[in-house]
Amino acid sequence: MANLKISSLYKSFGAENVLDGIDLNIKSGEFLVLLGPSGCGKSTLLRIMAGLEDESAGDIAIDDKSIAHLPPSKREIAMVFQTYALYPHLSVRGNMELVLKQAGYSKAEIKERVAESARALELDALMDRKPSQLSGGQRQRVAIGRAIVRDPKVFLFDEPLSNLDAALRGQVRLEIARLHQRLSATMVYVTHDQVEAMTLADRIVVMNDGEIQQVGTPRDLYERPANLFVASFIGSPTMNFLQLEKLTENSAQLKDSTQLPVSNKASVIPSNVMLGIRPSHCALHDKAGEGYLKAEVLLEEYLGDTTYVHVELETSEQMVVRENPEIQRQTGDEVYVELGISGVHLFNADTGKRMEVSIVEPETA
Amino acid sequence: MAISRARRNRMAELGAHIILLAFAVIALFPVLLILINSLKTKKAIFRQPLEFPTSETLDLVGYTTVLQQGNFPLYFWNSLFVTGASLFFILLFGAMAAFALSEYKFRGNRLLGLYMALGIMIPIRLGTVGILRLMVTTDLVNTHWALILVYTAQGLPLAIFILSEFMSTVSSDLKSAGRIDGLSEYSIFFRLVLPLVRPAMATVAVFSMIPVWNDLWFPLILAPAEHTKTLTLGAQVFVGQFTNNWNAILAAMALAIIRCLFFTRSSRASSFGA
Repeated sequence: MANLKISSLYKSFGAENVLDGIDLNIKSGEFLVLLGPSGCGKSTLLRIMAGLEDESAGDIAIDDKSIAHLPPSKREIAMVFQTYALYPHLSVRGNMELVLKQAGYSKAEIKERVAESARALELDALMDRKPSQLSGGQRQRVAIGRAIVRDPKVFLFDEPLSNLDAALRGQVRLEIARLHQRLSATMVYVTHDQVEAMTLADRIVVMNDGEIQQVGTPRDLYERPANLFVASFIGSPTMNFLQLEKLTENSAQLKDSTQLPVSNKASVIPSNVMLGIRPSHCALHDKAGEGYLKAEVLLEEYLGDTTYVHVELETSEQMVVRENPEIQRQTGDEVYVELGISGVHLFNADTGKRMEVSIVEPETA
Repeated sequence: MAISRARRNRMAELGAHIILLAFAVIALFPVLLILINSLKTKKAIFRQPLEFPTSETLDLVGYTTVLQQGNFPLYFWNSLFVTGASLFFILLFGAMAAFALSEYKFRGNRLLGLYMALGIMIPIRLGTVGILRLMVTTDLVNTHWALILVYTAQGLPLAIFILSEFMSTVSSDLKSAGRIDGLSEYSIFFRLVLPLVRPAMATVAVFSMIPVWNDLWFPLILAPAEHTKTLTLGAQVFVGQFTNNWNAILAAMALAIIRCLFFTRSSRASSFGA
């Protein structure tokens, strides 16, 4: 149990800034997920935490003691890799023992610790096998076991599920969640998969272009995305975006001059505003109605428990709408899209920043 | 249908084996010729070179000359020691340099790699005069080390070139895991990386060994003394300017071939073991 603090961390390869001033405070016992598209710097950040890569500037501290100058093995961290990185010539037992041997533990203690971790991960039957004789899921379990035996202050996971097939991925994900519950250890987990991030994380750090976009609980990120990037990155299918024609204090006008009763608290109303709404907050109707947008069906994606309908508005903007799978639509059908006002987000399209909105109560005359 | 297909497969297999056997015969014929002629009298060698030795033509004079005249067991040991030591250093330093070049990013990394590769293109014999001078000043002439140092230098470029390619394919996660587990860079090299590039090591060993074992040039120049003579140099005793002692030459060659078979066997075993 330890907290991890990263302050104004920079990393550049030549002229390219890979990490651009990262500040992060990871609480003791927290499961923190670093989420972002490939090349956003999340793996580099993790490798710097592990000491496998040197930072260009900034500091990392565990329990308020700087570890930036320490080699990886002295940082009291453990890491689980995407490719498992098991030592191919050692048995499962050998893989788990190695770190303890290097650290100079007594034979009895090594035996006890390895046995304990093996029991926890149900590896007992596999202890004398070589990594090549294990399945992908088993290998990743061994890799996790190797991380546990050392009883580290912080666990680092580098996309540990990416090399597993879909069925196993769900299973190992569950195991990692249970592991976190049992150990209540501080864990930092890198992934590009938002499902992993949403299901595992206490807090998610969304990164892009070497900068932190937003830090928050999965609910925060989904319900109150801080900017256009987070809004479009979190959620599947992705959020719909519509350009606003005009925004006043208590109404928003779309390009086709539909008025929506949303108000905002901005002191200066920006000229270029983007409205965001998730597919689940939209609905399709056969007939026109107040505030409905006329559209044409492009494509229907049937997923069994739900259907996503892709439509094109008269303004030639495209949207995705979630619909009851019992309704079937044909390409070319004329439909009317209702925007659920409670699901509307507004973003300053120039800065990308979120604008706080509230719904204007209809006046009861 | 199934039967005829099986038969056709067997026919194809037979055909392949016939072709392979033909190649084997062509390749092994000179070797066989050396072996049978080394056991015959000089007259028989020239009169019936293709005949197996009969009770009349059987003559071990070649072998007795070789084993009595030159100090062949010593030459043999010299060759073995020089080749073995050179091979050891080529593999050790080659692998270390290859690891450094492929693993660590430092200024001039690429340039250094290119510089090493240059050695493949420039024959080391061009530097013979310089090498001889160096050996004279360092007092290494007529020692095994003169040859071992030169052969190590000769073998390193190719070894580095081949091994660094292989080293860069070793998973970087594995090395990272080793570092986190507290292995030193030396342990990572010797315990994680080397076992994984064993097949490449075997290849390099075979390629480096042959020119060293066969070399006549450097033993002649750097270590021609009786106590450092290698097998190839020792066998030169029987090659005269006007007459050759064919019995002895063939016997010496036969002995060298037998030893070569042993070496090939052991290197094959190592590459299969990987």
